[in-house]
Amino acid sequence: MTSPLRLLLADDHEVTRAGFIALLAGNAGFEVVGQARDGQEALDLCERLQPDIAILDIRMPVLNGLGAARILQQRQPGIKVVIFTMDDSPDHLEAAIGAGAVGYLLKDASRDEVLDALKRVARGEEALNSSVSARLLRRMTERGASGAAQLQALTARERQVLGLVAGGFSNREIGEKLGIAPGTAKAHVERVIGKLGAADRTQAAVRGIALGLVAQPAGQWP
Amino acid sequence: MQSPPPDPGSALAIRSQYRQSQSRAARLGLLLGTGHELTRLPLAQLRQRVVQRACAFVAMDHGLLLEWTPDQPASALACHGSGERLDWLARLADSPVPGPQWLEYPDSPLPQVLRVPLRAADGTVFGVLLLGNSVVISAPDNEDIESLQLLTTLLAAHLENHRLLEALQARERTMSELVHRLFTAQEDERKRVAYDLHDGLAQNLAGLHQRLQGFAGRCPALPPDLANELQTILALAQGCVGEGRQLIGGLRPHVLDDFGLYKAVDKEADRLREAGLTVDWVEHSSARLPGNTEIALFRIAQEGINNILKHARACHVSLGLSISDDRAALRVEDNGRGFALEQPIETNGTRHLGLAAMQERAILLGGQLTCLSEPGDGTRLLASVPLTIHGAHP
Repeated sequence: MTSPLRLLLADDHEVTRAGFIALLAGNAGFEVVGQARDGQEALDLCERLQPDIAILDIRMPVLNGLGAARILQQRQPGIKVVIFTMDDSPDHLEAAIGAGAVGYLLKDASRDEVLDALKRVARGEEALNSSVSARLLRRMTERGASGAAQLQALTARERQVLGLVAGGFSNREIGEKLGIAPGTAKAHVERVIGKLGAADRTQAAVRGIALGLVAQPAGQWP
Repeated sequence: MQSPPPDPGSALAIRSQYRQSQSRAARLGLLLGTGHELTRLPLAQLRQRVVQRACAFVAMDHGLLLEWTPDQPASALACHGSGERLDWLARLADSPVPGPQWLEYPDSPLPQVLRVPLRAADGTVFGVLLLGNSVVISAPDNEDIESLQLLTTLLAAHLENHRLLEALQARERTMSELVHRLFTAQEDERKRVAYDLHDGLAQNLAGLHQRLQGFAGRCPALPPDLANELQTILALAQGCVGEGRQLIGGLRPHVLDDFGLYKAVDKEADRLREAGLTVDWVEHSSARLPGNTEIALFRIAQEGINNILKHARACHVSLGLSISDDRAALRVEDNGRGFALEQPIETNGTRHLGLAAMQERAILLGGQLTCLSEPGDGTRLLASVPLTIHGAHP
């Protein structure tokens, strides 16, 4: 049997440290070799004890978990960092990854989740909370696909205006048809052009038709 | 020889008509001139002008304007003439008579006095215009006295308006200060509760959940019903930790304190994404702002996002955060069904109240909030606040 994984646990709340140790109790694969109450103490203990994994809370006095992770990554890159936190925001996850953490666990994680994550990290894999990382991923894909998002951005009124632009109507005529002032119609048209990323009204009309936002008027398009 | 019959064209009649029209012109001039000055002159100058005009109009050489309030005794706010005689005139301020009076005091420093009270719209007398003469002249006619009364009525109405306006402005300032304190107290309290929850209850719950799990892991095999019960307890404990976390996030998002406004608003936008809306940032900045600005703009964005989820029926939301040296502007736009801004409040009371609260938050920072919407044309919310001056309440 291999020797147990040596863990360092840093959290300013005694109750959570005790809880975490109780969670692992009876499992021969893990051993908590040190406990720290802040990030600085965690760094000192890592230097002295050389654990396999440092489990760090984010919100700690003196030096927070992200700061400790960053320093640890530089000084002792062999020690794997797992963040153990209440914060479930993708931004904290992103910051944790940026600070060199390979694991991200929430404090309501189940025992299986914790054990599985620690084993995976020990094997050199990553173990990031799946729902938080899913949210981070969704944001990133959205940033990449903002072009498609813009198409959906048109309001009902703006789609109406786009239809009339595609029909070749002037701002004045659009205003008359919709019962709004020509100035208002002009503002609508400009906003539609902006949202479609078009250079002018003709390009907006072409894009609108190409994207199926406008029904092609049969009679006018040979 | 008979004297000639009175001729309407005679020199005497013409002179009399000329005098009459001259005095009419003088009366009209008095009122028009004063009316003109009402809105142009500051109050102190206006009072002085009224006293001078009144003296000139009835050819009297002393004038005194006294005003008082229920809590303050009469004080002289404008005068014309020599000091000792004015002191004597001031003694005539009190009188039970509500209208103008012509008084004669032979052998006194001012043998002739005209007393015209200043009355508020509700009839209470709050001042008096006293005119006195050191030489005896013929008493002014009734029309002249009426003109003087009209003059004091004009002045009284203007002074009363001014007083009401000042009271209203003072009230507005008090209200604004109270709202500011309310917002600050609310945010401080939320922050305190959030941090207390995080450090206390939430950690205890997390510890409890972990210990329960450790206990369940080491427990010898339980009969099926007890094993089921233990699983239920575990799920419940886990749920409590999750709920605590959500509660803390709702009270005071750590993201705001740790990463600033852009990330915090983006996390709020996750609620839109989870509801199936697409979100794009047209522009953003990660620059940090003063704490009160960040929290105010965050609450505005939060309320805007709440409104979109509750009312807008939108499928896309555009967000923008631009920060320059002297200004931060937050933009929240949806492509939903919009609403008529001029709709009476009762049809959508809470929403309008929310809008008013957003507006108040922006105004307290010395900024402004505009909301543009039309049925079928989405809603555009723009909050813009200055950064060099940190609001009206540093």
